[in-house]
Formats: sequence, C-alpha cells, structure tokens
Amino acid sequence: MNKVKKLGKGLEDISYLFLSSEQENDASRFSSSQPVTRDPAVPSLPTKSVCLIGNSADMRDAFLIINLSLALARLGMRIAVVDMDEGFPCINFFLGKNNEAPGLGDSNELIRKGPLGVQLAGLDRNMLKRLSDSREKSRMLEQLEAIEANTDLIIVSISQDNLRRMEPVLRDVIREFLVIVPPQKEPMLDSYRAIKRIFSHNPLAKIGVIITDIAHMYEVEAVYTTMAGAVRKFLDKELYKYGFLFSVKQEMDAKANIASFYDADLTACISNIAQIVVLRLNPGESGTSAGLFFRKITADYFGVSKT
Amino acid sequence: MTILFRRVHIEPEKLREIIRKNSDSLEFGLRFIDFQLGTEEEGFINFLGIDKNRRLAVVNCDSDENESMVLTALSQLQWLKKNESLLKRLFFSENVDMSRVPQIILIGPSFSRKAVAAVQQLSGHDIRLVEFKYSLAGNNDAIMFEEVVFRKAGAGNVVGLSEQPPVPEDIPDNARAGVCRPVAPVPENIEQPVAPFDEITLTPEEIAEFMNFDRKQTL
Repeated sequence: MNKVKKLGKGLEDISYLFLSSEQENDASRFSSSQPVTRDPAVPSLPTKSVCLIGNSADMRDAFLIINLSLALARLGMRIAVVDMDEGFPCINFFLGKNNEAPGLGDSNELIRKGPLGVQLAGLDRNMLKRLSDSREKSRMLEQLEAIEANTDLIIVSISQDNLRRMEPVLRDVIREFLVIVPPQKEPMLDSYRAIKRIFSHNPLAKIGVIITDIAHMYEVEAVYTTMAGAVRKFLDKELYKYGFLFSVKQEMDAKANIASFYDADLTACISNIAQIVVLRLNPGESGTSAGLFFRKITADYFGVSKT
Repeated sequence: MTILFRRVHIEPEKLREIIRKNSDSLEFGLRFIDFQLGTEEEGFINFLGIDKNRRLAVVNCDSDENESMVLTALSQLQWLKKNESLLKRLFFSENVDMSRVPQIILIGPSFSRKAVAAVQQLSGHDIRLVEFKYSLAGNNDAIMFEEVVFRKAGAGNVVGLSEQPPVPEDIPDNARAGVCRPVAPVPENIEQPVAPFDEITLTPEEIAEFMNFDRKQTL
C-alpha cells in the first residue's frame, strides 16, 4: 500500500497495478540472457523438425548450425541437433574438436548435451551399424525418444552429398527444409539440385534458403532472386527467405565456436535467422507426431527398432 | 504391362493440394476462388468454387471417414447466406450468381450409411458425395474420384486415365490430363516397391540459369 500516491481528492496513482516492480525489472534484466524456463504444468506442443542442408560437411556449415541452435535456445526453445554427416562435423565443432570423430564406446557417446540445454545426437549410418548388439541400439532409441519428448525443435544437419541417401526421411519424416546457398555458380547449382531432389520426393515440402558467405548486402538479393526464380520457373514452387550470413573472415577455430567470438555482424545475422525460424515454423503446427521422429528415422533409415 | 498400385492413407494437406490443382476432375468447369475460408463456428470451407453456371460450390474434404461433414457443410451454407453481401464484395470480380443455392461437394475415402441416407433425404440442395482412392506404385501416385451420391445420373471422373472414358468434346486439354494416374485393383498382400536412389538430373536450361549468375547483378 505504500506505493499508492494521493493525487488529489478521490484520485489515487494506481500505475503500480500495470507496471512491474523494480525488483522484477532487475530480475528480468539479469535473466534475459538465460533460456526461458517453462511451466511444467503447460503441456508441450508436438515436436517440429527442420532439416538444414549444408553445401558440404565442413566447419563453415557447422558454424551456422550450431550458432543457430544456440540462438534459438536463447529465444527459449528447447533444441536438439541431429548430425547425420559422416564424422559428425557439428558435434565436433560444438565440442571444440577439429577433425576428431567422437568415440564409440557405447551409444552414450553419440548423444551429448551442450550449453543452453541444446541436445546433440550423431546419427551416421556407418557409425550406427558398428553399435554391437540390438539392446544397445534399443537403449539409444529410448534416449533419442526422451530427447524428442523434451524438445521444441529438432534441427537435422546433413550435407548435400549425403542427402541422396535419405529419401525415406525426405518423404515421410521432415516437411521443413533449410538449404544453405553460397553466392557462387557451382555451389548454387548444387543447392538447386538439392532443392529439386527434395521436391521430387516430397512435393509438399516447405523449403527456405539461408544465403551464406556474403561479402556485400546486394549479393543477398542477387542470390535469392536467381534461386527463387529458377525454382519458380522449373519446379513451379516457392522458396522462403530465412536470411543471410556474412562470410567469416577470420580462420575458423573450432575451439571458439560461438558467433559472438567472431564479430557483432555475424551474431546479428544468426539472431535474425533464429527469429524468422521461430516465426515461420510455428511450433503448434507439427510436421510429425510427438515421439515418432526418431523412431521413424532409426527404423526407416538405419534399420534400428525397439526390441 | 500391368501397373500394380497399393492403396495407402493420404495426408489431409496432400489431398487438399491434389484437389486444388484438379478442380476440373470433380466437375467440369469448376474453379476455386478461395481456400480454407474461415466461417466462425462452422469451421473452414476447404475450397470455395464457382461452377460453369457461376453458382457457388462448397467443397470440403477429409482424409478419413467423417460423418459430420454433411452437417458442417449445411451449416456453412447458412453462413454463406448470412454473409451474402460480404461475399458479393469479396468476389465481385467473379460475377457470382448469389441467387442460386450453392452446391456442396464432399470428398472422403468413404461415407457412412447414415451420411448417404441423410443426403438422399435433402431434396432442397445439390450435394455430391465423392469417394477417393489414393494409391502408390513406387514413385508414382494415383487418385481416383468416384461419385457415390448425386441426384443426376453419372459415373465418377477418373483423372489422367490412359484408357479414358469418353468425354465431351468441349472439354479443354488441361481438364483431360491430370497429374494423377488410374488405380488398378491390387492384391492386399503385395509389397510396395522400394524406390531406387535416383540421380537428379538438371536440364541445360536449368544449368544455364545459374551459369549466367553474377553476384553483383543488382548493382
């Protein structure tokens, strides 16, 4: 009641009813960099998945994927990154390793936890085949399902070279795709080929592009206009623009894997892409039912199912 | 060579996409003017179309058997009547004849005996019940629409059939050739063929589109 100010006869200052308190302001200021915690009583929405298709399985694409997942986690989303490339470049990048493959003592080695609660899973076909017994595979599937149950968005990372081996996944499991497009002729043609492959297997796919390796702003529009024009002209489909990323000028160091270590422009680009991802993907409208994503991927693609 | 198709379930979005692109397969001259039109409490009208006589058509579809479709469509007709002036303004350029009662086309994999009996008792409305059968054969899919209830006598339309039933000569080419293929009866136990990993080939025109790319072209 000490907040009530007398303004005159019969008038009271009731602004405190609408404004947050100083303590609240302080608390929110300090917690702004922390991921938003969710009320466990609120039922979580079905898990949404998006497949991010890189130009090649290298550290540059891993840089984008990992930093995008961190940016999304900062926006309060629970993120899981599934690395489906040989050698797991994303996981290595995240863990600050350069070219080392993660160990394979047991299935736990393929599932890791990163900062801001981002979950990492490596699902390479050859690696999975090396898992010794079916009990271990089954345990891994259980772990993956547990991740899926506590995730808002699953980001699947795969390079164009490996995309051709994923046709069942393209057709049945994932609806949303993000294709990385650099501003050079040959890589653009490869990206277009990837887009054509996706649409040929999944005509209802929603494909967006992230234009990378940008030196000047005008290149963004040039790349997008060319790519979207070709897709419209030859495939009769539309592309979504998710944003762009400036070229990383300094040498890629896996140990400094967070965008803010590079420069503010890169951080801003990734933050913008993350916001568009949240707006476009609309977590309430799911591409697959909760609990089915990893089961479908492991059963259809790797031949792993629960025993 | 006999092509074997296996009947499978279709996702509602894909069904809507097929119908959207093949309005002529439901009725010659039918053209959609709006999609997923919200009607307050009566849900969405999947497709609002006009037929060749400029009469409105409410087209609703469901990928599963749904008995409430008839009731929903009738309540949507009431909504259309209530919002006649709004619709006239909204679709002014389409020159819709609002004096005529819109027809209803309901599309589903099957219709219950009750739904069929109810429709047959509705003398004041033109209602068609159209069943579809969606099938796969490798990378190819096929859909067949078949009218099961309509007051006027007539068999269903089969889209894109190689041995097509005779069609009136005034039908344009684009109405004859759909994206869909015919359905042949398939034994239940036959396995769906697995699509091979095909290489995506690009045409010279597609390649040329990118070979002419200049990253500074907007300057």
